[in-house]
Amino acid sequence: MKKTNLLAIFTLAATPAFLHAETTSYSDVVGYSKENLPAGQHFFSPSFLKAPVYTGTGTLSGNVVSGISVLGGLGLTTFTDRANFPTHYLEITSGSYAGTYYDISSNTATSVVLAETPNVAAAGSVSVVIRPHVTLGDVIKADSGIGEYSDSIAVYGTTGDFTAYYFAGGVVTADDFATEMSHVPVSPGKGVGINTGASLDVTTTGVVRKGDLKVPVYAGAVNVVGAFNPSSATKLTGLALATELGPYSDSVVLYNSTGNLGLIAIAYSDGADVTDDNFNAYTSVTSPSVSTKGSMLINPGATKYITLPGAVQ
Amino acid sequence: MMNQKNKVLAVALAGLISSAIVSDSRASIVITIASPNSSSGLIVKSNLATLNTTGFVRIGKLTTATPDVTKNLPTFANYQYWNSIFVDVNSSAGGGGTSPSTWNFNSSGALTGSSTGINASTFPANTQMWVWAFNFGSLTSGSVGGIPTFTSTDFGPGKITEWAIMSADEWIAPADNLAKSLVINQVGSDTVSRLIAGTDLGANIAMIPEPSSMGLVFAAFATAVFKRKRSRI
Repeated sequence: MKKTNLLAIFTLAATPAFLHAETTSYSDVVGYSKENLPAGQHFFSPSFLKAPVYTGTGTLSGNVVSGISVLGGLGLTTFTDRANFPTHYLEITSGSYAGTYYDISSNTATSVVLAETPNVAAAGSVSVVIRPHVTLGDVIKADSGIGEYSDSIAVYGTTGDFTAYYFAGGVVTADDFATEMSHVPVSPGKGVGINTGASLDVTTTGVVRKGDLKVPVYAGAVNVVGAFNPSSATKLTGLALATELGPYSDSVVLYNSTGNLGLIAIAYSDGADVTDDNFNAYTSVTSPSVSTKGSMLINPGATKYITLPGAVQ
Repeated sequence: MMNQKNKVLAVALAGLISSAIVSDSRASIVITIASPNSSSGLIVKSNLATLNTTGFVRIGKLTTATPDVTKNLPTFANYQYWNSIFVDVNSSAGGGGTSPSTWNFNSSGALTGSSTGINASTFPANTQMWVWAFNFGSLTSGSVGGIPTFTSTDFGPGKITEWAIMSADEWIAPADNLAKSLVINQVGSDTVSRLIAGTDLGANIAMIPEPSSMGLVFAAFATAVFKRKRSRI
């Protein structure tokens, strides 16, 4: 049983993050979603984001955004005995690159260094939002019913690789069941693979996504992409897949959410419409959907962006 | 727009691609073993001592659904039988996955760690997974392989004298691009036991010894049981 609560009109005006913003802020809708995943295997994406720590403008040059004002460390985690990961990411919210996001490698009080360089065309004055990453520790909690030592969580890389994490001692761990790895990020719009021996309740909370997000998908990778609508399923025809998928080649695979990864549909594009695997166009009525407890697997021939609309536009 | 001929070709191609996606030969799985401490179950020697940096485990599948369970004692002849039907996740002839050093028993007798990059077409979803544990030898960690091949001279005092062969209902390979942890204390709870060689101690699994040592182990167990009963009087 899915439970979703949206606590509308929760303003961030009183938060410290807002006090550092240079442009007019907006009201963020927050809420929580509790999804029951039956025993078995799933691809799952969190529906929510974390509240921003900075909203304003900056100047992008190369992989540096300057002219902003931020407090605290926004770079990688600083463990000495385990892998480190980005803690925050910057999203461009203006211009033709609006919705693209980049992990932050490091920062000063007035600038951030991005882990990759945005397209040169995005350079110049840009509006940006900086948010903390949602992490495995945010998604998988002790009260979710996850089986210690036995249940696994897969986090996917960009080349077809993935890393498995487990749960022991009340926290997400590496495969030694001792090294805590709760800090592993789940990038916005992306999902994880879950293999659970018993029913699992995944509760996610945070800010409802507002506006389109450009999610990178990679050729040869396991691209688990969700939808940001926490309250209802998202039709494939409601996305921009018709124009973003390579015609007759890039595919989207949808599985059911019953735990057996039963195939719901393999969808393509004919350049104008999202189609089934016989290239018959789906309509808004016949289109399969990304459920609130599921994800789609996207198989592109080349690395590209897929646009995910926010739950709020 | 596509003409009809091209559409037919595209549909045929899509069919091939679809089949590939659903059973992607590039897809991989991860298999992990969970025997990290006494709360999760250890594999121990037949005298209940921990395997202190001696021995290792092989993890894989069997090529038969009905193995000869009478060949359960650790002799070279039985090794040859099991070796012929065992497909390792971390051999080049098997799953092609990585070989973790942590599949050698550590100083606490524990086992953890994963083999990654296992070919999902060799280990499709729901494949029954097996663990074969030895009290001697070691796995050479690396990208693939490193599994020792034993000869008749490797069996006997100071070498292979004990082993365990086991599976559990829960030990099934995951779907493509997912992971599965094989938890040792899940062994023995099945309706039909898959503990072919070994003794279920509840918390741990004990190896079984070579035939010549069976009497001594039986005596050790009998003594332990007798002392427990005496202590309850």
